[in-house]
Amino acid sequence: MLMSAFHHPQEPQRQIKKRRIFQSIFPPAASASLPTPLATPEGSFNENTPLHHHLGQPSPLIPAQAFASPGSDAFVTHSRAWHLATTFLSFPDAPFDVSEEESSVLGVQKDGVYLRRKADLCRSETREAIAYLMTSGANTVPGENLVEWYTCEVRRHFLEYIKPMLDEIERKVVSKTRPEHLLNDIISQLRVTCRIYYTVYTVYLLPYITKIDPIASVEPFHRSLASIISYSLPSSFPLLLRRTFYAYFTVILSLPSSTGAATDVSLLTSPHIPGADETVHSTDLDLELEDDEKAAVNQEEANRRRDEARNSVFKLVESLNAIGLMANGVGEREFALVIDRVAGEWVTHRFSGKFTDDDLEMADAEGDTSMAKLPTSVASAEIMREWLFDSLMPLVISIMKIIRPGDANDDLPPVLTRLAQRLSRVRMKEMFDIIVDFPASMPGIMDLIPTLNTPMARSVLTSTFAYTLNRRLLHQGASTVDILRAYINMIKCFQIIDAKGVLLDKVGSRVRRYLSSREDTVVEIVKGILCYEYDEEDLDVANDSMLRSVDHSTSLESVEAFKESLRRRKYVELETDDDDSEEILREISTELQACAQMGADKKNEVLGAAASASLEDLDYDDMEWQPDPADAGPEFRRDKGTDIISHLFTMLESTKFINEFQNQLGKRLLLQPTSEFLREKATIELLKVRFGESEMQNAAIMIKDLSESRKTDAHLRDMVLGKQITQSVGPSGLVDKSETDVHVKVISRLFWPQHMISEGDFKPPASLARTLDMFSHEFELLKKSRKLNYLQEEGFAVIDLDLGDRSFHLKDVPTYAATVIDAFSRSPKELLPDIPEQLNGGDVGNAWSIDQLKEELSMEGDLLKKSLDYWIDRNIIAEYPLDRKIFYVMETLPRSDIPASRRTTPHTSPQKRDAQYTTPGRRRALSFVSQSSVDSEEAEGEKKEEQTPAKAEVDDEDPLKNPRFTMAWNYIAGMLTNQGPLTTDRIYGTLSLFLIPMGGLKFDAAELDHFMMKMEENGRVDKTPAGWKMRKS
Amino acid sequence: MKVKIKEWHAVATWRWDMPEDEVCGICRVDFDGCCPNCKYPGDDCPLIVGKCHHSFHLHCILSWINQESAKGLCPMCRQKFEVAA
Repeated sequence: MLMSAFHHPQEPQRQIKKRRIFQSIFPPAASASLPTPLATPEGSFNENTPLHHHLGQPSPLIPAQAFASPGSDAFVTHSRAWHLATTFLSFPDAPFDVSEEESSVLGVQKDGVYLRRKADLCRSETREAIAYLMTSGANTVPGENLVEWYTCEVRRHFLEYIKPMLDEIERKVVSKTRPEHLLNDIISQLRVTCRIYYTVYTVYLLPYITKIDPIASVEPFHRSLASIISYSLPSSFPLLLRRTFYAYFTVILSLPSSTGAATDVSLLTSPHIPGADETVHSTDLDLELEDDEKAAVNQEEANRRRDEARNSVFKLVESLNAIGLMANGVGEREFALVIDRVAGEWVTHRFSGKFTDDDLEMADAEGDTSMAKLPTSVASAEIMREWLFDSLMPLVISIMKIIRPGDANDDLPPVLTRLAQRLSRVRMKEMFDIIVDFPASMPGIMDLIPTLNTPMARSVLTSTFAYTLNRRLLHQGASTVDILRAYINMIKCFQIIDAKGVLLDKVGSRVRRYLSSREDTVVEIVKGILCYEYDEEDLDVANDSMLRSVDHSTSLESVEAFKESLRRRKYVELETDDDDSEEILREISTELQACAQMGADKKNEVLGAAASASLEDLDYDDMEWQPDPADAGPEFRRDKGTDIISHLFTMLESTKFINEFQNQLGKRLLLQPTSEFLREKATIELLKVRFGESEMQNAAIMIKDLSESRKTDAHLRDMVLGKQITQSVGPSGLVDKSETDVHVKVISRLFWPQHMISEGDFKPPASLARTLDMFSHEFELLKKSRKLNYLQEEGFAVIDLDLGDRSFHLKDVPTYAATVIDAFSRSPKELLPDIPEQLNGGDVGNAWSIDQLKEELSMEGDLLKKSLDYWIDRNIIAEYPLDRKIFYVMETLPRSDIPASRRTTPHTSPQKRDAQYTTPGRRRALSFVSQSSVDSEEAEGEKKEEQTPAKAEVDDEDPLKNPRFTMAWNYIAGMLTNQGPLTTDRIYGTLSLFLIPMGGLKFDAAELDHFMMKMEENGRVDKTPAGWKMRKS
Repeated sequence: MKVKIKEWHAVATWRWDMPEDEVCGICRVDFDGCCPNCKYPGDDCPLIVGKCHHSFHLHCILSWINQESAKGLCPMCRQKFEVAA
């Protein structure tokens, strides 16, 4: 581009500058770089030839007078030389023939056809001319202009002939079946072309330049060529290159690849790859592999394939490097991309779904390298490091050596970090599974931690996890226990990941919101708290840690109690029998213990949310204070309490929790033999720390009642037993020792959940009634001016049942059920008619109708129903078919060989029965049903629809017998007398105000309405438009 | 069918032998509850019946009697408070 400037050294400096600027914007036309026309006489250098003839485009800017200057001789010589040199160095107006050039390039002959021809053309004059131009000249840097010209010539040739051809190849290839040929074609073409460009440059120009400055002279040419090549590469070239690299690397690193990869490899080892000597052989091999199953490839073949792929890759890289596409070019970029992708795929393949120790070891055994067992946290890091050293880095380093022979630095750390990031992405996606498997999935968490150092990474984690949570956990299908368990694990995991709790705050709030909307959350949590189970290991651990924490324990008493209860823990295994069916969050009680022990050290942290919030908010002395983390949400509170239990508790309303706790505790205490309940005591102590002493006061009283009951019970039993003996050593002289071992628990009625007190009454078994009376008498003697009221519904019995073909030992039968079954051991006074001896092949024992039972036991209908259901569930009592409200003992079980269709079942649905009627030949399967009842069956069937549950029938009697209403009636009567007629709602509203101190209402508005209706029937009230009114007697 | 009740664990509530709905005249808490200063009802917080037939939590009446202004009178009937035999 500086040619004309060179020709006119005298041209004013300003104009040269102008031209330069102009030409840098508008490159000179291709013709400007053409060699001087052939028409120019070639005689001697002395010939005085007008300059403008030499140029295809005579410049009007140059005045003719300039040539008449003293330097004109030299100028003529120069232009002659210029002409010769440029003619020689210029390229033909066509692309080079690849096959022609390539064959000889590969052969013994080093130079291609073109170069040889060129060498032949090179006569001594030409050499002289080049030498003249390169060494002498008017320019400051000799030879620069010829080099410059040559560079332009190369560029022109390339753009004009090679680039269209490359484009042509690309277009052509689209239709080809094997598009991978494209890469080979392009590379070969470029390789040949570049070779020629370089050789010409090296052979004819370089020797002169190197004398001056070897490095500075080669670089610009290389750069210029490389840039022009990368500019003119087909658009699909990077993609092609990427696919090729990818195919090779998957083979070399033995990654599981997409199906296309194998074919890619076979194609890429095709003869078109320059220098692939054994290509024919390898193609055959690869074709075989294509046909065979991949699994059939044995190790040797795999190794060979790997070696082949490795060689091919090296050759590819070399040839790319030779045409300047590798270093800093498209090749290097694609290479890096592919390496990154391959590494990522390896990580995914190697680690995804494998986040436990076992998984990692197993995966290791599968892999090529066997590795000694490592500490969990570093296992994956070590696997990655090993893979990098053994597989990836050797490959990368050897390729980098080709690209940049000088600076081969194996900088492992960045690569390792990159892998770790990949791994953490994999782990983030698996976060939910990791949490579900928590303690085992610790290595997975450790993988995650090192990369979570940017707010970005953290927010990716939280959003990914939140999405999974919604999809997999927080929906109707998941049980509350599952959600709680996941939440507990979540807390544990995120506390490991992020000790400050910001992440947990973000993901946890969603779970908390969801859980607090579920009704049974509190029930499950309390169940968990009250569920104790230890195995020996736990015992030791707990003892040890207890001993350790004794010195600085705040509540020594509870610790002692806890230790004692641990010793006796076997005693408290009430629930363990049916635990299999019911999922219980044992974790919670364990956590409660663990947290309490931790709390001995870090008291402040364990304090309940309310307490600690006010305590720590204004802690100006805290020199360790740090602001909340930058990505903390607006609701984030650091001092929210950091242990699992406080996470769970703060989710609930504390009153809700305490009520539920009292309910369950009460049930638990009453359904066990009286003991010291030290375990429960310890739990209450721990809960006191969180909820405050006053909140747990009722629970404490409940426990105290029980431990006092223990003493009282022992005393009463002694007294009663003594009396029984003295009494019964009567006429018979024999000790009529009562068969039943009676115990009694005395509780304080105001401090227990009210629904447990004041329930229905009934007559306990006759054999016990006397003993119970003696107990209460003795109690009155023991505790002056106090009385006992039995709560018949509470408590339990241990019962042995002997039936015709089977016997039972039942440990915790509710007292009401025990009373009912006791009634079944004898027959009612009026025997029921039409009771067959057998039913469905089973012997029928004593039978009672509901009404008879009700009368006999004076038991409320719903309680009676509950008791009967208890025994029906255990297959001991059955209901007669057809809703006759008669129940009988199944002395022997019905034979199972009677076909179901002929069985009589108590629960025949009305529709089914209707269907039976419509059948013409309707079967009288119920042999025991008398004719009259068959006749009335139809009426009965209709009646069934109207039948309300047994309870409604019971209420037919005096509604005031229902204890729930006895007290309320007094109020109602007063209200109606004093205030005139009132509606049910009004009455209900007023009552609920009055009765709160008495433990609240025990019925709802509908029941009250029902009650009022009954009272109307009984003639106590009247219904008026204004509401209920007392009937004047 | 033979039913053999091996053990019977009954539950009972205790109550002071007092009229049903009376409360302590001083603290207005149910006799079966405990006075405000006590934590546990029953033995820990006994009742006391005066000769005037007024009953109180023992702790309640004691703190009342110990006041100067009480002059040892029953807070209900202003008679001299003496413990019933």
